[in-house]
Amino acid sequence: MPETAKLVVVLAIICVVASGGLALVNAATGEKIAEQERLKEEMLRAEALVGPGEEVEFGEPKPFDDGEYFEGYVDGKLVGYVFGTVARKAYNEPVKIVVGVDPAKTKLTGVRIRSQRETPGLGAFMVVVRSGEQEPWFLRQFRNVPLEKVWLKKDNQAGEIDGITAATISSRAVTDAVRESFEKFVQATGETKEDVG
Amino acid sequence: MNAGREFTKGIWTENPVLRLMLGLCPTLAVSTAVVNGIGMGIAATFVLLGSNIVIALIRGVIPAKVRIPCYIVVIATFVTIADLTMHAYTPQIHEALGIFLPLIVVNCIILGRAEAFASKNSVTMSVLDALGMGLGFTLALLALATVRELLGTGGLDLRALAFQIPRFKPAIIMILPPGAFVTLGIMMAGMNKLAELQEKKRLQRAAEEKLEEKQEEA
Repeated sequence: MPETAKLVVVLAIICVVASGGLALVNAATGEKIAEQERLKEEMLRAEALVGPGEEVEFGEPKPFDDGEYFEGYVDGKLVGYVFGTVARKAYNEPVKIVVGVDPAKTKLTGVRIRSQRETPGLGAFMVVVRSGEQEPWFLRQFRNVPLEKVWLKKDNQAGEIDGITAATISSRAVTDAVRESFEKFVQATGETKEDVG
Repeated sequence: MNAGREFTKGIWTENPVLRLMLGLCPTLAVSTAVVNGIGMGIAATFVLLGSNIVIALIRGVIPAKVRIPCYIVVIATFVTIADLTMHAYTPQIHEALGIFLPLIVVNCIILGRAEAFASKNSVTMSVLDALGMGLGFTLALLALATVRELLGTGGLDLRALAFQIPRFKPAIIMILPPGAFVTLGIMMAGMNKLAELQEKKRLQRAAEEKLEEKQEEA
């Protein structure tokens, strides 16, 4: 066998064996990974609607914007809607957010961060939980805030949200994205729904 | 060849981070929290172990001209296995390590050990080498991350065990990149000083022995 052919054959065999092995690992972990992603997603939605550690049942996904929204039920009673949005003006990568609103669509029930890569110690404080507390202090501020008050205090007098010290860009990006998606949601699905009550 | 030495050299005399200055990029990036440091250390050790074993096994059949692509394929395979496994079973650490987990593929420690050790030694020796180097890498990460997390956040968060130093005002810079460089620099300087002292002691002892021999002769 000429030398060049040997090079090709050896490398090809190694590649084939490697991809075979990876296929096996992928088959073994694929289901578990999908399950983890689904659990994480559902936990975030429940936290945005009610609070940490609460059980919420979700209806079928319905189309909204580029993604979808869900109705959340506790004991068969509608407690609100959740949908995702993205803060594109964040400091590093876009921040993915989960937004919960009440059944009347007038105020937020809560906000959660699905993923962020803001600077640790600055913007990343948006997901930092102070010791002894249940949820990040920055996100807790969004609970039960009416739509017109979802502003940073320094951007609008009516605002109710305190920015993170030295991380105004991150705080503003999240607050603005939440407000804008809320407005869009109200426009897209109508002020209130008939079957509320 | 001394099996014990092949294992311990990675921890101290040839510590990949502090003595060989390899794998500094992930070291600086993920040492913001102790949990991340440990996760990264374990993942890299697993990859190192797997790739060292496989490369030591097939070292006879790999033609010299394509050895680097062969090594990279083997290493990338183990990295992907580690990536998928961590995604499935430790999703939080997987998320925190982010891009640095797949980047283990190009970690110089792993390719370095494949090229410099596993391709020339038996499987047993390569296993010891991988374990030693992996442990050395993990310990270096652990030390760096402990200092940075303590000073940068004023406490430690190890999932099960978390505490804050009371009335301590954390220095945020320790969590940011400059803190990593400063801490690593000081640690390297300390290691160099210790190594220098050890070397001096060794030379002194050798000189004394020689002197004694001469006296005995006379």
